[in-house]
Formats: sequence, structure tokens, C-alpha cells
Amino acid sequence: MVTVQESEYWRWPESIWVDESKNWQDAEVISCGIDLGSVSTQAVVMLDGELYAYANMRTGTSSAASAEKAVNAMLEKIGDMKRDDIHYIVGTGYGRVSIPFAQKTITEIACHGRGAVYVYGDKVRTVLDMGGQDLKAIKVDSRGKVINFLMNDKCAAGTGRGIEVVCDLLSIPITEAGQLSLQVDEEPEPVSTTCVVFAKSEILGLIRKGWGKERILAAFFNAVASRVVELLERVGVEPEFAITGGISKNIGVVKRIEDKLGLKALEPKYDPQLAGAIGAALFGRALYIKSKK
Amino acid sequence: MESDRGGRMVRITIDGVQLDVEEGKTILEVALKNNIYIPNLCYHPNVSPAPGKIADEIVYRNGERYQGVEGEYEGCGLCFVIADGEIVKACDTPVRDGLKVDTRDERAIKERKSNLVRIFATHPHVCITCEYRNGCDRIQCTFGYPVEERCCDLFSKCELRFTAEYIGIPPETPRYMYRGLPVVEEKLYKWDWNYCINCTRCVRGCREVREANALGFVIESSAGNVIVGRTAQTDVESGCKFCGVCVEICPTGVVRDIKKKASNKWRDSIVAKKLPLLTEALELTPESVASLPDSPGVFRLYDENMEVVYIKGTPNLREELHSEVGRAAYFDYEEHEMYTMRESELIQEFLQKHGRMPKLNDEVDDLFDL
Repeated sequence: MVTVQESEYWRWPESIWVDESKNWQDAEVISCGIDLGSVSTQAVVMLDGELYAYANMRTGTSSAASAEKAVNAMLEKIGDMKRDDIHYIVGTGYGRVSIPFAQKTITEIACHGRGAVYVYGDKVRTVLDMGGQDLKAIKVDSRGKVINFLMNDKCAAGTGRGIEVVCDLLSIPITEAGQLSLQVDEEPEPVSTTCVVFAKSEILGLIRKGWGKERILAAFFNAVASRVVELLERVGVEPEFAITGGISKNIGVVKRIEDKLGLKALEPKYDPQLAGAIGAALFGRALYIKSKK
Repeated sequence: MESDRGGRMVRITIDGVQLDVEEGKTILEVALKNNIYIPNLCYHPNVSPAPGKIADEIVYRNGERYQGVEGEYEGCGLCFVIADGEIVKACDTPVRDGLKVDTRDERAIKERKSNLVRIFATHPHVCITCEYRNGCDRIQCTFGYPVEERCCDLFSKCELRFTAEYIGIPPETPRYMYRGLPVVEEKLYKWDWNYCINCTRCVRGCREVREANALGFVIESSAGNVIVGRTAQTDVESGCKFCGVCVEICPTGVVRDIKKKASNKWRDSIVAKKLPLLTEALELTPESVASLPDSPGVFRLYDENMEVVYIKGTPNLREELHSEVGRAAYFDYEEHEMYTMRESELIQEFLQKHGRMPKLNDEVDDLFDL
């Protein structure tokens, strides 16, 4: 384990989990999905299409090594499973083609759509994927098949990486930022830009003006939410709508998106950051069954 | 020799290619039919050519009266070609036996460009001329241009844009200044005259397809500008039959169907126009693939009708495309380090335009029900 230095407020906790109640040796099809994103990497193992184990890690400087690290951490937690025991591995995310042991790669758009249906149920129609470096609004049918999608410009404005930078700047642990931002009496005007570079200088200006951290976070998350809502309205929001990706864990952003849309986001059944990897694993299961036919 | 419809056939040459074509057809018609693209805008296959149409006396926009002078519309001026040494409009010149046409002559290109500059002087174009137009989400403008100067939501299928990309945007194109022209909400249609390039296609569609005469154009006395409008103060008074041909035939984003009424036979009778390809596609053969760079990038596969059927990013263009030989007829590619992101951008662009995924990108379709 890396020792977390106090100054690294952007560091969100990595997590590894296994469902102890299941025995993987009983499963007919063991599939694995790896979502290699710009900021985080998730690996999941599914037994006959049911979530069994996952690892959610930070992406390092090497895509291949990050995928390896996540899978190994998960296998270690399971204990007696080896990589060869997995029938099919599918890679997705920006770094998907850099996963040497994946049998197939599928776009993160397709995987997030399908994964969202697993995480949120088949009622979900609009999926907002808020990742480390991009925002995607995806419309899906009841099977999680993508009907339409829109993503942000070539720009990390308002994305996970932007929030990391702001948390670092304000010396606030990223896991607490969302809750803190809700502790304002009155919602401040949004900061004028969500551009990571410009927002940084704007926020420094607000600090100098004497604004409290809560108020600054509120202003920043308000701007992030506005940007996202513009994107959603372009693709057309249909209830039921759901948020996947890392930012779905930030209550400050989620609450503000809900307020602006006048809609409540669905409650996840599983960690919504896993949606992409779950989608990949579900495709992996189908690919394995297809190959045996 | 006779054509299958009984017309006499003549032999002409376009850009060195010998063609047997029906006598009486225009150069533009026979060129497009033989897959030789000549840029054009006021031309539409369902209506007669624009040049020489006599102007009306009065038209109206939002009830406002525009009085014109006697005269005729000369056409958009984008289809100029050289025919037997003379510069002519391809949409208005019939073919004759032995005619030699050059569509790539410098004189013709220069003429097209100067007319394109004229069109862009009064039509929003920052998005069409923007360097980042292909990846842009068109929600927020990185360069801060006001909404009125940006292009409308029909950008991905805008005919003016396609034509302009083909001709090339001349550097002398002036900045567009918003003129605050009328935006009219009628019972069924919304007209934003700021987007009108006065090509008179809707006027001819209204007259020739529906025979309604609800739209017309005048020639302004001062500058000789063409202005398209209603032939009376309101839609009903002008004799509008609400057929929607104007919506279908407009090359830009002037007129919209407010109620998004289902199609009717008049609307359906308007055929799609042939647009230029924005990219040069190559034939998908082992030979053409062998000379590709073995570097990361994104490629698109096209079928025989030049429809995009597959979009994919890959760390090695040559290797990946080699395995695709036989799956499609043509391809194009671009080298790109961030190919997974570029792939998403191109798929997004396709989705916005067609409302569905490219056919072969749907390959995961059968994986949902297993």
C-alpha cells in the first residue's frame, strides 16, 4: 500500500471487495471486465452475470500496469482464483487497447450503458457518466443498448480531474467536498468557468476575497452541474436518469444536478463507479457463451 | 443512340472522363448522376434551375413589406465550370454533343470562392470556419463567439457547410455581423430569416412541387440583393397549404416545423440531395492497406454507397485495417495519438447526424440477450 501523505487531498480511497457468500467454483461462466479510465481503473469478476468481486484503483502512469494491478489486487482478495480461471476478459475505457490480457475491447459508451442497467435496474433511460476526464450523456433502451450519446468537448472542464485540483487547492479531502459544499446558507453564483486552469485562478481570487471553503465549493459544483445539465438537455433527459462514474459519489454535484433538472437520480444497487467494468464483464459472459455455441 | 427513356444520347467529356448522356439535361445533372461532384446550392433535383427566375414585386417577412424592382435572380454562383473554354453555370447549361467540361479550372474555382464569400457575408459561419468544428460539442464556444454568430443545430447536416467545405473557405471571408432579421412564428412553421441565403429553393419548391405560390422573392433596388419572403402578410393569406416542402428543401436552417408534423406526400416527394464527401475515401484492398502507417489512429469503413458503416480507433492502423479487408468497400483514416477519444468523437458525430450507430458498430447487438 502507498502511504497517503496528508497534503494529497485529491486522493480518493481505493477499494477491493469480494462477495464471501458465493463460491466461484460453482459458476458456469466466470467473466471479467476492466474499465481503464484516465483517473481510475476498475476490475470486476462476475459469476454467471452476477457481481462477485471488484477492485477500484487509481490509474498509474502505465495503462498495462494499472490493469494488471487492479486485477491482481482483486484476485488476491478472492484468494484461490487465478487469471486463467476466468473464461473471458473484456477491456473498456480510454486505455482499453493497452490491456494485454483482454480477449476483446468494447467502447466505454456501450459498456456504461449496459452496466448502468445492472447497477440501476432496467428502468434507467438516461445515463450520465461523469468520469475523470470526460462527461458523457448516454440514452439507453431497457437492455442498456446505446440509442444516443453526447460527450464534452476536448477539455477536462467540470470533470473528476477538475474536482481533484480544486480539492487540493482548498486542502479538503475529496470524499468530504460534496457534503461540505451543501453547508451554505445561500447558494452562491457559479464560478464563471469550469476550465481547470482558469477555475484555479478564479478560486484563488475567491480565497483572497475571504470566501469560506464551503461557499467556494458550492460555487464550483454549481458551475459543474450547469455544464452537465446543458449536455443532458442536448441529448434529452428522460426520467429515469442515473449517474455513473466517480463524480456520482459527490453528493454536492449530484444534488445540484437534480435541482436544476427537477428530477431525482436513481439509487444505485452497486457502486456506480463500477458501471463500465460491469458492462464489460456482462459482454464478456455473452462472448464466451457465443464462442461455445 | 437513344436512352432508355427515348431521349437522344450525346457524348461529352467531364474532367477527361468520356460519358454518354441524355441530350437536354444540364451539365450539373449529368455530372452528379455520374458521381462527379460540382458544388451547388440553389440547385435542387425536384425544382427547375434558379438562374433567370423573374422577381416578384413585393414579399413580406413578419408582415413587414419589402418592395422590389424588376429583375431576375442569377443563382448562387457556386456551380461554375469551364465548358468548351467558356465559364458557365453548370446548373443552367444543357449538354451538347462533343462538349468538353472542366470542373477544376482555376477560373471556375475563383468564381465559386468569390460567390461563397458573398453568401457568408450575411450568414452565420464561425462554426463552419472553426478549426475545432469536428470535435466540438457546440454547447459552449471555446472562442466565446455569441450564439447569434454561431451555426444552428442543423450544423451536422447543413448543406451550406458541406458545400463550403468542398469549395474551401476563402481567407477573405468577412466576419458575420448579426442583423437582427425577423424571426416569425406562424401556426406551423418558424422562420428565422437570419439564416436565409436567399437561394430561392423554397420559392421554387412552393411553386413547382405544391403549386401554392405562398413564397416569393424580390430584388432590392439599392444593392440588388435578393430577398425571399411570403407573398402576403400571413401564412394563410399567402396561400400556404402547410405541406412542409419549404422545410424539406431549405439548404440551411431558416424554416422549421414547429409541431414536427408527421410526413405527408408533398414532403416525401422531396428527394435527398447529393452532398460532397468531406473526406477522401480509399478503396479497401490489401494493396491500399499495405501502404498505411503502422501508427495509432482512427478509421471509418464505407459501403458501396459511401455510407459510413464502421468507426474504430486502433493502436496500429495498418494491422487493424488489414484484418478489415472484405468487410466494406472504402475507408478513410486519420492518425491520432488519443485514438479511443477520437473514436468516441466520430461515433458521436455520426449519431447526431443519423440518430443511430453505424451498422457494424452495432456488432455487440446480439450480446444482450445471451
